Amino acid sequence: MESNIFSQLIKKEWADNRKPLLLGVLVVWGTFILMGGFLGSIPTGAGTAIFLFTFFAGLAVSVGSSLAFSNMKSKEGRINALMLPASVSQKYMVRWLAAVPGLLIVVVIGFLLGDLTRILVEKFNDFLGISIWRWIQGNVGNHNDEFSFLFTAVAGTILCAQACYFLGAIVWPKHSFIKTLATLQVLQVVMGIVAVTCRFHFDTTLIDSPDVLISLSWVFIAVVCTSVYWLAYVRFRRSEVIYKLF
Amino acid sequence: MLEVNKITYSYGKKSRPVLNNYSLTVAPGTICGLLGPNGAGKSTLLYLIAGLLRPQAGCISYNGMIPQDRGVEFLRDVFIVPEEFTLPNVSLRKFLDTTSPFYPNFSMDDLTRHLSTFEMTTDMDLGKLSMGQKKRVFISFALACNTSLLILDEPTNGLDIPGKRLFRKAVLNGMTDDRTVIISTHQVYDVEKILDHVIITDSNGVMLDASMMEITDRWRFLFTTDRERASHALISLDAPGGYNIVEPADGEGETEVNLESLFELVRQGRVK
Repeated sequence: MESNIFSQLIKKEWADNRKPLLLGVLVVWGTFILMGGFLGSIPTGAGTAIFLFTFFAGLAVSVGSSLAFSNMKSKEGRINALMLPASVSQKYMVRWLAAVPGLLIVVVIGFLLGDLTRILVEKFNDFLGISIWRWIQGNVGNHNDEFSFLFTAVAGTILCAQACYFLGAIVWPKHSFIKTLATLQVLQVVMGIVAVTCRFHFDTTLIDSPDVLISLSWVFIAVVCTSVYWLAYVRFRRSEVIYKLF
Repeated sequence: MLEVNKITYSYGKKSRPVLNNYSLTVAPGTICGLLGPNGAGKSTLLYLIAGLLRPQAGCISYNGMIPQDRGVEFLRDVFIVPEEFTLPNVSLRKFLDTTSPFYPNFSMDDLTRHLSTFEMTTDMDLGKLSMGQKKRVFISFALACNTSLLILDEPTNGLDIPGKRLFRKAVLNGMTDDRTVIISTHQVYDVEKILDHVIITDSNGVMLDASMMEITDRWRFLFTTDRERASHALISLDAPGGYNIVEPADGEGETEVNLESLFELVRQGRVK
């Protein structure tokens, strides 16, 4: 019965939000393809492409996550969502699946489509088109630590940002992206100060192994993301028809 | 049985409570009219009953369930039609396909019957309907879900003249012995013929909680052109060509209840 409700919830969310969801997917994929076409026509190599694609991937993930609870920004929408006969965890999980793993899959596919477009356009213009993955293997493959650090930093930033924008979506259903962005800017400054302070008080040479540092970073990312998603669940469970910040 | 026990609710920590130490009981099998002045907290009370708000003090229970927990069993047995609502831009069939499975007692036959009462069919696109038509569909759906508690907030707002008549018919058709319907409205003429219980309230509590039978046993609601008689009545309201008055029944024949006059009678504290 419970799984039946869950599948019914997915069906309902899809039926009610099919058009904006499909439009969002098309916008993301279309932008990646346009970027790929543009970068292919002025061959800059995979290095520039990876930077621009990653920047747009982060932006798409952040904006997409901040829209996870957009149908709860009106009183009528909140009544519809809160009165639907399903448990709070089921309602939350449906949105989480769509806005977190679902969105990541869309962005990764878009990334691949953009890169493919770039290679095809470069080859059409008689340039040597090399995919981002081959570029990574060929250029950074000899410096595994450097690439691993870079990958951890970029992926970690995107995953943590996605979690924060998802939390922002339920805390501020209206103008969620802007409000979360502003809050994150403040947090960034505070964390910067804390990091610099820690740098002077702790012996960072204790973590001298890159493998340990990368592993610790992934543990940190996992803890941050899990905590933020848990906070989002608690906030969603506390939602009422009248909007309250806390 | 719906029991509201000494609840307090305010919209801000420093603001005056909308409901203060408020209690209420509604028995099953009744169509209960909830009347009160603007700002009396009627909609707030309905949201609290539906579990859409949490009281700061006191508790509410419906058939042993706590609304604010928003358990699945509770949500399956309660339907609220707010004054303003949204429906997805899909066909009615698609809406039913995705929404009705959440309500175990939903009946397609009942929906067809209620839509027929509202002179509508199941073959329509919700995105192309006017607000009044959407309200007809939503009320029909709410009745067809066969929840034991149905909450209607200003249900006749947006309905045209025939729509209001058909609304009364649909609600009466949808009534059963174990169903409770709570209607909050200022449009008293739209609902006064279908109510069998009236609660008149303000933020301090219930001012009148009586069945229509008790009301007609206590008072007579009359129209008179006699100024002298009007001056001696419990309450007298100006009406075109005369006065709507309320007099003690004193064992005389029953009259139809005039909710506007009853409301004024209660509001002016002339109920003993």
